[in-house]
Amino acid sequence: MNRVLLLGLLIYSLLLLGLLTVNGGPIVLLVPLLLYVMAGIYFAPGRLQLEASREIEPERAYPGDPVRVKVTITNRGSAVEDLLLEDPLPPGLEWINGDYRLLCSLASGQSVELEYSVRGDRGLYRFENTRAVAQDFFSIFRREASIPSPAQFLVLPYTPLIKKVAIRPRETRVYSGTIPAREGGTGVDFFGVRAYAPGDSVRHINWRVSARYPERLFINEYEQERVGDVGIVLDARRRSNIETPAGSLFEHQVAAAAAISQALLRDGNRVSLLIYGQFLDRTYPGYGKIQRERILQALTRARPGDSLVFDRLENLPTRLLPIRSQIILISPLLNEDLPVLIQLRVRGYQLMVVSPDPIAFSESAYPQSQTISLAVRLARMERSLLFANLQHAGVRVLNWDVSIPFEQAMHQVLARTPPPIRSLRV
Amino acid sequence: MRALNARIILTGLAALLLLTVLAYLLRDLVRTYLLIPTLYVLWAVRVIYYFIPGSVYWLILLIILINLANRSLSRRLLRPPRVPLLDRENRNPIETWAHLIQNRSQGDYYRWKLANQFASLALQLIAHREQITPEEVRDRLLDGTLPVPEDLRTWLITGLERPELQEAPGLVDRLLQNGSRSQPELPVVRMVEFLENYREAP
Repeated sequence: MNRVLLLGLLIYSLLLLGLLTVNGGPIVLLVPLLLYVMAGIYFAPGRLQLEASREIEPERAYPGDPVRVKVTITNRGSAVEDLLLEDPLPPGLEWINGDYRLLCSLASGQSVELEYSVRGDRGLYRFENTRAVAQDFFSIFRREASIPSPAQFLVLPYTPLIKKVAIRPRETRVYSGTIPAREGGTGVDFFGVRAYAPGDSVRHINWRVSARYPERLFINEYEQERVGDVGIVLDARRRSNIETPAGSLFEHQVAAAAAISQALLRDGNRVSLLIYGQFLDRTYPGYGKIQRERILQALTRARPGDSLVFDRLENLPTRLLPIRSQIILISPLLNEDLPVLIQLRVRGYQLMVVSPDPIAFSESAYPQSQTISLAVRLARMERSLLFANLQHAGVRVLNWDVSIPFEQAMHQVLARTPPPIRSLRV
Repeated sequence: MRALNARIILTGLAALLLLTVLAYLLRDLVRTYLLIPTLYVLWAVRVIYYFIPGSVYWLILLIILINLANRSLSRRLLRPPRVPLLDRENRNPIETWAHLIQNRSQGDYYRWKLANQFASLALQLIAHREQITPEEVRDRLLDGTLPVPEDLRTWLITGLERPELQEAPGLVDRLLQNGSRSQPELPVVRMVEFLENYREAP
C-alpha cells in the first residue's frame, strides 16, 4: 500500500476518532504523524532534470567477449538527496562485473557514472533508457524518471576463416576474379589454340602446332578467370532447425554463412544473402568490405522463425537470384526439399548445399536405447539417400558434422574447383 | 519547488480544519446512529465469545494446523515422461522414427504407419540403387521379383496398401481378446539391417 495513503488514512482516522469520542488522546497521537508527513512534503524531491550519455566499448564484439558500458548521468536541476540509478540490461545480456545500479545523492550540476561489463550471444543489443528514482529522507514521497540514453552494440557471429570456396557458375561477370569463365584470354589454365592475329603476344605462340602448318601461326589461349554472382540462402525455418540443451544448430549455419560470404567477397565476387524463415531478409548483391559489413549485420539479426508462407522451400523467390548464377544453400535439409533443389538446377543455377548434420548434432541428446539406436540408423539412411539424389542432380553437397571445424570440413570437400556441369534437363 | 510544497501543506491544513468543523457538527448524529449500535454489536460478540468454552477454540485451531501440515507434507507423485524429448512436436528425423517405432504396439494404425514409412524409404532406396523409378520398384515388389525376404516383402506390401481401418473394439471385446493383435509383430531390426545391407552392397 502507498505509504502516503496509509499515513493520511491513519491521521484522518485518529482525528475523527478524537472528535467523535471527544477525547484528546487520539488527537495527540496524530501530531507526530502529522509532523512526519509535513517533513516529508517539505523535503520531497522536485522534478528530476537528469541527462545521460552512454559509451560502449567495443561496439562490435564476438560471442563471449566482454563489452564495457559506461553511462554518465548529470543533474541539470536542483539537488537530489536520495537517488537510485539503474541501467536495465537488454534481454540476453549477461552481467560480468561493475555497477549497473547505484544509490547516490547528486548536487546541482554534478555527474555520476555507472560502469559495468556485459557479454552476450550473437545479436543486436539496444539500450534505451536509464531509470532514476528519487525520494525524500523519510521515504514518503518518490519520483521516477526514465532518462533517454540510447545506444547499441553488435555481437557478431563467430566467423571461421576459410581460404577458398571453389565455385563454378554458368555465367560470370566482366571483372577479373578467380572463377574459370569458359572463355579464352589471359589466365593460368590452358584453354585452347587459335590462329595468330596481329597484336597477339609472340610469347604465346604454340610452335609445335605452328610447325604443322607452315603458312600460319597459332597461339595458346588461357581460360579467363572472372568474378561471379553468388546468392547465399540461409535456411532459418524453425522446423528445419534442431535445438538441444547443448545449443542450436542454427548458430552453426550462421557461422558457415559468415565464413562463406567473407571468402567469396575476398575473391571479388558479387554476393547477396537471403535469410529464409519467418520472413525474407534480403541483403542486396554487392562487392567488398561494405557488403561484408551488411551481410554480417544481417546475420547478426538472423533468428529461426515460423511462417505459413515460407514453411517450405517452394516459395523461395528465385527472381531475386540472378539466372545461371551460383546459389549456396545453408540448411540442415528436410526430405521434402529435394524437388525444390532439383528445380533450381533445372532452371540453370549452380547449386551448392552446406548442410550441418542434424543427426550427429542431436544424437547425444537422447537416452541410449534400442529404439533410439534404430531411429538414428534409419535417419542416417534417409539422409544419405537424400544426398545421393542431390549429387545425382549435380548439386555439390557438404554434409557437415558440426563437431569438426567448418574450415576443415570445407577444405576437404568444397575447396577444389568443380568440373563444368551442364544444366539439368528433366 | 518550495512553493509547491507549501501549497500542499496549506491544502492539507484546510482539509483538516474542514473535517474538524464537520465532525463537530455531526457529532450527535454519528453517536446516535453509528457509535451506539456498533457498541451494542461489540457487546453481543463479546457475550457469545465468553459463552463458548475455550476448548472449542483450541480444537478448531488444532484442526486447521493438522490440515496445513497434511497439505504441506503430502507429496504428489508425478509420472515421469517416458522419453522426454519425444514429447515435443516431432520434427527431428530421429524423433520421427523413434516415435513410430515406439508406438508400434499401440494398435493396427500405428503398425501400418511404421510399415508405410519403411515401404516409402525402401522404395526410394531400391529405386536409387537399381536406377529405376519407385513405381517400377513397387511393381517388382508386388511381382516378387525383388530379392527381398518373404516376411519383409509382406510387410512392405502392407505398408504400400491403404490401411484397413476398423471400428475400435469395445471394452468387453478387448477383455475377451486378452490383448491379442490382429497383425503380427513387426521385424523392425531385421528390416533396418536389410535396408542397410542393400544400400552398402557392392
